[in-house]
Amino acid sequence: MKNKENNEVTEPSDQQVYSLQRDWGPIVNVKPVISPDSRYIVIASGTTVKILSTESGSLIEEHLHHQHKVIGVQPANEDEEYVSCDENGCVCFWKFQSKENATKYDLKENYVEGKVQVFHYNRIRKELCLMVVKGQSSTSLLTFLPPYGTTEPSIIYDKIALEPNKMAVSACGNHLAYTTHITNKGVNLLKIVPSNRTKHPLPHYTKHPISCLTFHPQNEVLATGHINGQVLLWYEFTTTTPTKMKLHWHHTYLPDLAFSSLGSYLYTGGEESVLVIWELVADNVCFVPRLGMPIKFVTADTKNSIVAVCQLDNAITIVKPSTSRVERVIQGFAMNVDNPIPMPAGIQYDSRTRTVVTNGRTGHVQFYDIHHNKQLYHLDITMSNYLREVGKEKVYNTEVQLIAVSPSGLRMATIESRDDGVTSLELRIKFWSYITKDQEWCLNTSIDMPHQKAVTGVIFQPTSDETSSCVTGSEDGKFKIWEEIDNSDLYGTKSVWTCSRMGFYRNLPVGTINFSPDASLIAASFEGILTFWEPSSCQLKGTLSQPYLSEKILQVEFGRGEGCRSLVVCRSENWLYVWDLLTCSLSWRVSVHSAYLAADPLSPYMAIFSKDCNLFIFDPRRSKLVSLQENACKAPPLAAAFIPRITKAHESTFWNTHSALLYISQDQTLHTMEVSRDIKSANERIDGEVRQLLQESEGPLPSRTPFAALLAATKISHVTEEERAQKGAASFGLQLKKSTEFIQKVLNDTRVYRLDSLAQLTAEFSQLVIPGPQTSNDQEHEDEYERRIKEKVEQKSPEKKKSPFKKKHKKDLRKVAETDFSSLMDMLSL
Amino acid sequence: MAEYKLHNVRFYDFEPKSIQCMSYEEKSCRLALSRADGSIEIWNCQDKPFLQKVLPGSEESSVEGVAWCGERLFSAGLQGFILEHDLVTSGILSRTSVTGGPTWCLAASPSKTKLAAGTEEGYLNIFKVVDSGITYEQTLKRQEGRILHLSWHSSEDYIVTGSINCACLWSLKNERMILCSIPPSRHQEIIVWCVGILDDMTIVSGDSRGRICFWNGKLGVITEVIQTHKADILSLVVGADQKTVYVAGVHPLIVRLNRVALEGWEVGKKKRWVIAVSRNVHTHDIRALVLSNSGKLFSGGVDTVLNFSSYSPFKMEISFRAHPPRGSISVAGAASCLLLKQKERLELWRLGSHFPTSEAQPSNFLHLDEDRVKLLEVRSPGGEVIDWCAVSPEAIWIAYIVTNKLRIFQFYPPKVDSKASLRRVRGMSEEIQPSYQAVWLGAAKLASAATKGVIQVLTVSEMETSVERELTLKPGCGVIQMCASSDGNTLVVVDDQNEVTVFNVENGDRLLLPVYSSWVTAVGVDPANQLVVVAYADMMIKEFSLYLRRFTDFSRQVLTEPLPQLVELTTTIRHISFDASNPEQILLHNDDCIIILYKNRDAAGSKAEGKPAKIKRGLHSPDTSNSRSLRTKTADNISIIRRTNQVLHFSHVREDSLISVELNPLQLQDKLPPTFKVKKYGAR
Repeated sequence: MKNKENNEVTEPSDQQVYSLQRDWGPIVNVKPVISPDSRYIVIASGTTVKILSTESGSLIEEHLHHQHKVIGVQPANEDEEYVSCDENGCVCFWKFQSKENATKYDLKENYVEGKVQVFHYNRIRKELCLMVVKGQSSTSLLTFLPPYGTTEPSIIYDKIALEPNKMAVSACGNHLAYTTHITNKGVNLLKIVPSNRTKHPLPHYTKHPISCLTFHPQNEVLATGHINGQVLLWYEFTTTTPTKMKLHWHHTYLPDLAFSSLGSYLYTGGEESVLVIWELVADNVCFVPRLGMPIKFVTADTKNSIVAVCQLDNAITIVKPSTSRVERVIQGFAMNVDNPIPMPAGIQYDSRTRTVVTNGRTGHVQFYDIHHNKQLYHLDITMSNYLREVGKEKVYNTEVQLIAVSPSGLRMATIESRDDGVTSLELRIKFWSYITKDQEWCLNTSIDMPHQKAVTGVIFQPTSDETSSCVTGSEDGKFKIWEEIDNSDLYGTKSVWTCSRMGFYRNLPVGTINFSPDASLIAASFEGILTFWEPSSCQLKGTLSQPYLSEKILQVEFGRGEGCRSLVVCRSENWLYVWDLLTCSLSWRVSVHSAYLAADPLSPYMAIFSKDCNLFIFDPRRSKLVSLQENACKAPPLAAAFIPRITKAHESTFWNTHSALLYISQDQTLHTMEVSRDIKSANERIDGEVRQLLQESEGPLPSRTPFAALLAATKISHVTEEERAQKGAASFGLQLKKSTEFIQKVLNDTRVYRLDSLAQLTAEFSQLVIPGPQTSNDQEHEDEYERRIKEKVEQKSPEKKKSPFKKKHKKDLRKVAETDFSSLMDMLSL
Repeated sequence: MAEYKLHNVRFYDFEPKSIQCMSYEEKSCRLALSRADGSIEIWNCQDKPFLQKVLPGSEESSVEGVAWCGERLFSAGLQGFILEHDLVTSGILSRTSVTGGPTWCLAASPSKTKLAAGTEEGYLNIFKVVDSGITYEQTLKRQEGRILHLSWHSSEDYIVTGSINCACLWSLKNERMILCSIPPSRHQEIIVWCVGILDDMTIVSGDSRGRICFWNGKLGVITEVIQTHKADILSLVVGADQKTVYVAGVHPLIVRLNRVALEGWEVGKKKRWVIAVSRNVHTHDIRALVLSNSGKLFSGGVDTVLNFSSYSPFKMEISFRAHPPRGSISVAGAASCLLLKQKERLELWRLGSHFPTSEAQPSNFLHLDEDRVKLLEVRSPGGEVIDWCAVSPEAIWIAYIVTNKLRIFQFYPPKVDSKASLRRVRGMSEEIQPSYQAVWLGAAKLASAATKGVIQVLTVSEMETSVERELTLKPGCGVIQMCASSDGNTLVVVDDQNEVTVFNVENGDRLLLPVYSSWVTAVGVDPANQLVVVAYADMMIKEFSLYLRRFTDFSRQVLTEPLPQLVELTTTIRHISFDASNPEQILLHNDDCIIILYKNRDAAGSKAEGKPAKIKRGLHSPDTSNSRSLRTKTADNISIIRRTNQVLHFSHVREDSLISVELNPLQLQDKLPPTFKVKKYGAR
């Protein structure tokens, strides 16, 4: 494509293809901060600072003050002011939920040379501490006192260990601790700098290298974590012989630790995926086990109500330390860590939930809603614990290799494998069916070793009915067609998947497998040969090959749309070529070092990413390019796919009107390709530096959900009904109609994840909407109530004179005080 | 170097007993520890700790508490008496009964003028230490339950006691008591095994739950509780700086608690106790802990090992295994026999032999052509514990001591036509005084250390034993150690004033060796060259010529300071012997090494290097040329052979054979009770 077609770009326009980040990005790269009221958590991801709600997990605000990667966020004072710093030395003070402009200090211009790696803000002394690396090894610690940027910093040059939690400032700001490495001796040194910053630091040698450290929030106690998993509490560390108390539970590297706000608890987390709560006063230890993935950071809040635990798979788990229970998981786009080839399953589309299905945490599959930037759920496929390497020996976990979702979204097939190169290969195919009644995925069939060697492809037959078959291809040279057969017995209707047919060709390994869009043909590639089979009989219909196209075929896509139905697009390492099935001849071919091919299911267009990060959009009918974008992404993507849009893009060219081109970048974030005039409008950014994403009102309601709003609305309407004094069946029906209308309206723009639990909603809701059974007694009460309202209205409206307290009124009041409200309370607390 | 055959004796069945209690004397750096068989060992810790003396105990005696009052040693046990021990003659100087029956604990006041003893019936006895012994001063009101442990306050006005479910603080002035009671949990009584008191009246108690409680002594309320162990805490000791407490118990973990100041930001200064160090140095229950003022910690317990550790500023730990007292192993060199003392019997063994053939390849392990033979087994009448035994070089005469009574036997070795027989020498002269040590001076002559500081030289014949001569030490001195030359002409005596006296047995002349600052741990006399070699606790070795009456040139030039190779060793030299055919060698040993010192070799090489060379090499080198090359390479005047087993005795026997009596540590482990089980991760 490069050699001749480059000149023939058809649409020279001012529109460009921009790559936009669709997910939140990595939210666990920087230690988060919890707001003083424990309702929000402040995280830094990329160049932005995001504020998430700890109650719902939704994104509240996004701050775009920085041009470079943000390396730290710290609270600046007690009332929701924060300070953030990027790696270029730009320090920014800003406020949450405030339109005020942020105060920025660019310290780079004057003092900071090189890149800032670690940032700390000392609230008491209003002191900024920056750890800067210049070149390969020259590191320095700079401390700035206000006014920043004008006063000279005090600098310590030392072999400082540059990691975010290897530096800390004590509670009263008197001491600063950091670690140094003396590499040739392997000695780790902890240095305590006294407050005047002029004296020489006091060194303490430690036997095991320090991995993290923090100060006690109230007392002069320092806690250090070590690479062998132990925690040392240093008492009287300003003396030459401090008292060290050892806490040892973790067995490997300890990444982070945090004290509770009063310092009576110490939280540590590590690679065991266990949050350990050390009760320091009573020598007690509690555990929050099975958090799923290794812990990266631990942050405690000031109210001691929650602990935020950042985990490797891009999740922040909110743990309630008082009950040792997980409260909530704030999950970004889950990363597939610890896998040599991340995201092997690529991007699949689930039409039922309109989500993309990809690999998530090890052994899991995630359903990610790109329209709302939210992970819907993740499904444990392998059902085994995640194991981390022990010492230097790597532990291999079973990983989901391939995923296929049926067109109806009700069946899913997953291939999991484990190959450590020592023991024999473990291979398993699992068929899942979605139970609509229970709203969950159920394992239907699990087959061990469906093939003898690694599976290279799995795909469902794209038929609309539910009984579609599934095809798997493997390196052992066979492809198998699996079908769901009825296995009902006395106890109920059951179904099970079995292999019904099998095909092979010249004993060659199967490269890739695809179905034609009308489900009438299976295309299977054997090395460089493309073969076509009939699905129902497994009959070889034809083979296509060319002697000069002997490269292994990596991807095969059938053409879709008008005039493309007979075309088959093949991608190999260096070639992209199209066969015409009607003539059985090569239609065209171009040479391109490609990384991934994606086909739009709703239009004839296809996209190819080249190894040098160029994006080509083409129509299989001709070799001419539809669109070209050079340097569309930073690195070749891991996977790409066209995902149907919910609403049509307003500012798009024809090729991405129906579907958005989605790809997973090397750092495992989701991006879409959008055609726009400039990046600002593409990113839908507002002019300011703060993007308000959700209007969280400051009401006293415990949860601000649409249903809560609905309840409030119905209550108000009830009052107005009463004031109008139009009580009766007709008016009640009107009210019901009104509320149902409202419900409909609310439901239309409700997102599932923002709802309260169903049980909580229904009781209250039905109480309000469904009229209860009326007895004559009730009727009497109602009548009286009506009458009283009337009286009240009469009292109020004509002349506003103060009526003295009548005896009856007093009695009524007393009655109110004496009434049993327990039933009401019960109802409210449901 | 000459080639030797080494008799590796591994059949001595020595059974050490567990350590019960300890007491440390600051001034002379002596540690008294009692074992389960009622014996009291005195360890000198001025330089390297070594066992200086053993006060033998009897089977029925028990020692539950020992206390030093200056140079005087008191002990108390379940018999209900406080005994004062004579450290020279191992006798008992005085015996005072205690009100309230069996005594569980004994403690001397900080000024060492008073003794307090706690008893089974709950009486706390206070005694005053006077010159003639101790006198009763007062008995405090009876308290509920036995008093298990007590501790003096530094002002000597208060005593804190540990009992069942409570710790009590007694005021001696008005005999009032403050009860610090621990409510029993689930009807299970809590035993306060040990108590301590700080200067600020903070009471520390360790109990059977494994918890350390800190009490406000004035109010009797708990201020802090720390769970340090998983089982009973048996012992605790408070540091002199009042900031540290060492704790140990059934769970064999030595825990150091430190008092730290929390310099708060808002709270202000606060004090807290935290676990600073926890070390696993023992395998079994730790019964006793003792702390010196300089921060050295001694610990001992059921695993019979005395452990010496120090935690600040540097961590160090040295274990001293129990070894049999002097006079347990005696070698008859000329007859190549070995006399071993078990508890109440003696065994005489003839060592096996190997006949070298011309074709035989020198190898590490030689084939025994003639196996060892047990010639004799002597049991003391009535099962009394034998304190000392000695055999003459030709194995004709055997002497043993039971409760200071000397018994001498003549042994007729087995011949072709007759069995072995033993005949007691009945005619003991009236002049023979009670004795506590005996050494054969050649054949038919015995040197006996009498309890009055006199050494009697006895002539023994088939029928009778008479006193030939009396050798006297300086007045006030008692014999610690005696060593005779193989020809029986010279007797070297080490006394408790750390003086070495050399007697000529023939004419009774005596010669005092120059005094050295450190304590003598071993002496040896070389009859051929008339040399006396003395080893000291700081690993200094001196060689004195009796002819010249001065230190030899070797001693003056080479042994000017302790050899660095020896200083590296953890235990002191325990025995010195010589090979008459190789006068240039001195054979030494300590607990875990065999050491050979070469007088004719140049030490320059190793000294120039400045690094102590550690040589590990078998005695029987397969290739002599190889061994020569090795030796020339190191150019060393000392050779240290480390043994995996504990070396109990090592000496020259005759001609080219040496003997090494060794004890496998695993042999001891089999005899110990099961250890406290602690669940460990990954182990079942």
